[in-house]
Amino acid sequence: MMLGELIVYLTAGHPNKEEFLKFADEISGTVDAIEIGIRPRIAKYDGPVIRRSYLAATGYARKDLIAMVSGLSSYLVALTYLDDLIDDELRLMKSSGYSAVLIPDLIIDYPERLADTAQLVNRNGLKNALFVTPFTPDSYIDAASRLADAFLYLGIRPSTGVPTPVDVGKIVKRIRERHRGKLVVGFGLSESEIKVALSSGADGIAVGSSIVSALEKDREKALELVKRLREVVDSV
Amino acid sequence: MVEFVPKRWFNIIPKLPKPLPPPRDPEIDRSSIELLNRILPEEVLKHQFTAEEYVDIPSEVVDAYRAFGRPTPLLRATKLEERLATPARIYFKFEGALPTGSHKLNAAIPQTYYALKEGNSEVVTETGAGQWGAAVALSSSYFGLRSVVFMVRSSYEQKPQRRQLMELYGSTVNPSPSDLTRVGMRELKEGNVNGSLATAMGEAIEYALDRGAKYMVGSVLDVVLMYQSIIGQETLKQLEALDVEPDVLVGCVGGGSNFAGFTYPIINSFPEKEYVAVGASEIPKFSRGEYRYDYPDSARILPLLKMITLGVDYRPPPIYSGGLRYHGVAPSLSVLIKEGIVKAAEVDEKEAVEAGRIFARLQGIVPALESAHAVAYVIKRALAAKERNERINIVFNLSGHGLLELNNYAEVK
Repeated sequence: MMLGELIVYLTAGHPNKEEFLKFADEISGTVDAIEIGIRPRIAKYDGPVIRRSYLAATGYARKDLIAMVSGLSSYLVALTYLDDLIDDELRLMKSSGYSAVLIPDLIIDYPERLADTAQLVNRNGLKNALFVTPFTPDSYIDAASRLADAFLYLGIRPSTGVPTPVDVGKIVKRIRERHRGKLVVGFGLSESEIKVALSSGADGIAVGSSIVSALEKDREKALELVKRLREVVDSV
Repeated sequence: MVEFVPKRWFNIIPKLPKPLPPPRDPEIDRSSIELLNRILPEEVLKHQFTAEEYVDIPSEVVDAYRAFGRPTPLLRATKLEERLATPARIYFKFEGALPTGSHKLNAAIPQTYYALKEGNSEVVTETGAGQWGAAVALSSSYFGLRSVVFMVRSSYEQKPQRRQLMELYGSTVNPSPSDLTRVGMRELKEGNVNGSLATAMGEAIEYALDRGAKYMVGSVLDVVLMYQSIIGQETLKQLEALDVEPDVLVGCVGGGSNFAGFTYPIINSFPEKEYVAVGASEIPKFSRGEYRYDYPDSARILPLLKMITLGVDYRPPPIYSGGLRYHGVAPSLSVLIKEGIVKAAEVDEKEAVEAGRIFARLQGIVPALESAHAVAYVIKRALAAKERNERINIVFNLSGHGLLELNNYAEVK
C-alpha cells in the first residue's frame, strides 16, 4: 500500500531568508513536497498566522522571493494568487526549480480563465496543482480534475489555519468520487482530521499555519512538528 | 394522509453554474471566520461550510415543523386571476400561515435545536421589525431555551405588538442601543438613541461572546438559505399533486432567504424556467449594486462575502418594508443572478402597497409589505401574459402576512 504524502507549506523568506532556506533543506527528506507561498498583495484566503508571515517577506521583490528557492532539492510547488501573477514569473519559477504552481483564486474568482491559465502553466514547463473548495460545484471539480496534472488541492476550510468545524470525511469523499488523480487536502487540519482525510480517500495532506507558527518561534520545534506529522500520516 | 414535510434540506452550492466564492477574512490581524466558531452552534457552522447537496433534517426539527403547521398551504389566487382577466394561473405558497406570521421560523427552529442539543441554555439575536426575533422567541420557548432579543429601539417603540409577541413567548426583549453591552453604551453616549440593525447585531454578538449564549443568524448566510429550502421542496410536491408545472416563479428579496428557500429546489428540478427576484426600487441593489466582496453587516463583525451590494455604508431610505432594507444579496443568489438564471426586478413601495390592498380585498390575506412587492410583480407579469395570451402558471412565495403592520398600509396613500 502506498503511504500518504505530506506537503508542508512555507512562506518564502519567513522568518528570514537564512532560516527559511535552512528549514526547507532540513525537512527535504521528511516531506514529499514543499509548497512555497510568494507574498501576495491581498491575502485572500490566509488566516492570521500566514498573513503575519508575509510581513517577514516585505523587504524582497516578488522575483527575489520566487528565486530564493534555487538549489533546494525537494519537489517544489509555488503558491501565488492569479491577481499577482505576471507572465515572466512562470518562467522564473521553472528556472528556479519549481515543478508545479498552485493558484488558489483561479477557480474561485476567474473560473473562465481556468483552461487558458492551466495551458500557460504547462507551456512554461510547470504542472498544475489546482485548488478547489467544498463550495466548488461538481462541473468545476470535473474540469479541474482533467487539468490537474500535479494534483488537486482541496482547501477544506474558508481560511488557512482557522479551525471552523467541517465534516472532513464527507467533503473528501465527495471530491474523491469525482477525481481519480492525486488528491491533497489542507487548511487547518487537526491530527485526527488528517487521519480522517487520508482514510476517506485523500492521497496526501498539506500543513501550513501550525508549522509557520512554530517556525516563527523556534526552528527545532518546527522540525519536531514536521516529524510528528510524518508519523501521523504514516500511521494511517 | 400525512402531508409531506421534507426530511432533508437542499443545498444548492454543489449545483451552482459557477463556483461560489468563499467567505473571506478582512485584511486585519484577526479572523472573523474564527469568531463564528465562538458564537454559532457547531452544527450550524458545519452546515454553513457543507458540500453536500442534501442534509438530513433531525426528526425533532421535522416534528417542530409539523407542530407549527408545515406544510404551509399552496393556494390559487382565483379571484385575482379573474379580476385581472388573465389566462395565467396564479398560485402562492403561504408562509404567513406559520404562527409567527412569516418564513423566518424555518431557520430559527434548527438553530435553536442545535443550540439546545449542544448543551446551551440561552440564545441571542437581533431584530428590526420583529419577524426574526419572534421566530427565535417561539422556537426557543418550544425547545425550552432562554432567548434574548435586541430590538432596534425605533421599532421597539413603534411596533409594540411585535415586542409583546416576543415577550409572550417568554423572550427578554431589550431596546437597542441598550446599556447591557459596550457597543450599546457607546451608541447611547454618542446620542444615537434610535438604533440600527447593525448596532443591535453588534450588541447580540457581544452578548453571545460575553455570556456564552449562542447567536442565531436570520438571513444571508448560505446555511440560512439551506434551512429555508423546505419551502420549495413542499411547493414542488404540492404542484405535482395538482399536476401543475410552474413557468414563472417570483419572490421578494431582502437578504435572499425566503426567495432562495422557495426557488432553489425548483431551480434544481426545472433550471430553464423564469425566476424573478423582486427588490425595492428605493434600495436599488439589483440595478445599481456591484458584485464584489463586502461586509454582510454594518457592524463589520461577520466575514466578507462576495455578493451584489450597494456597499456596507449605504444607508437605505426609511421605507416601511424593513425586511427589504438591506444593502446586499446572499452570495449564492448573487451568482445565480450574475449567470442569468434568476432575473431581478424592482418595485416601489407605492406599487407594493397598492398590490397588497388588491390582494387583501380579493384573496383575504393581507401580505406583509415585503411580500406585497412580489404580489406587485406577479400582477404585472399576469397582465403581460394577458397581452401575449400566455397560458402560464405563475407561482410566488407569500413570505409573511401583514396583520401586525396594518398601520403601514394606512400610512402609504
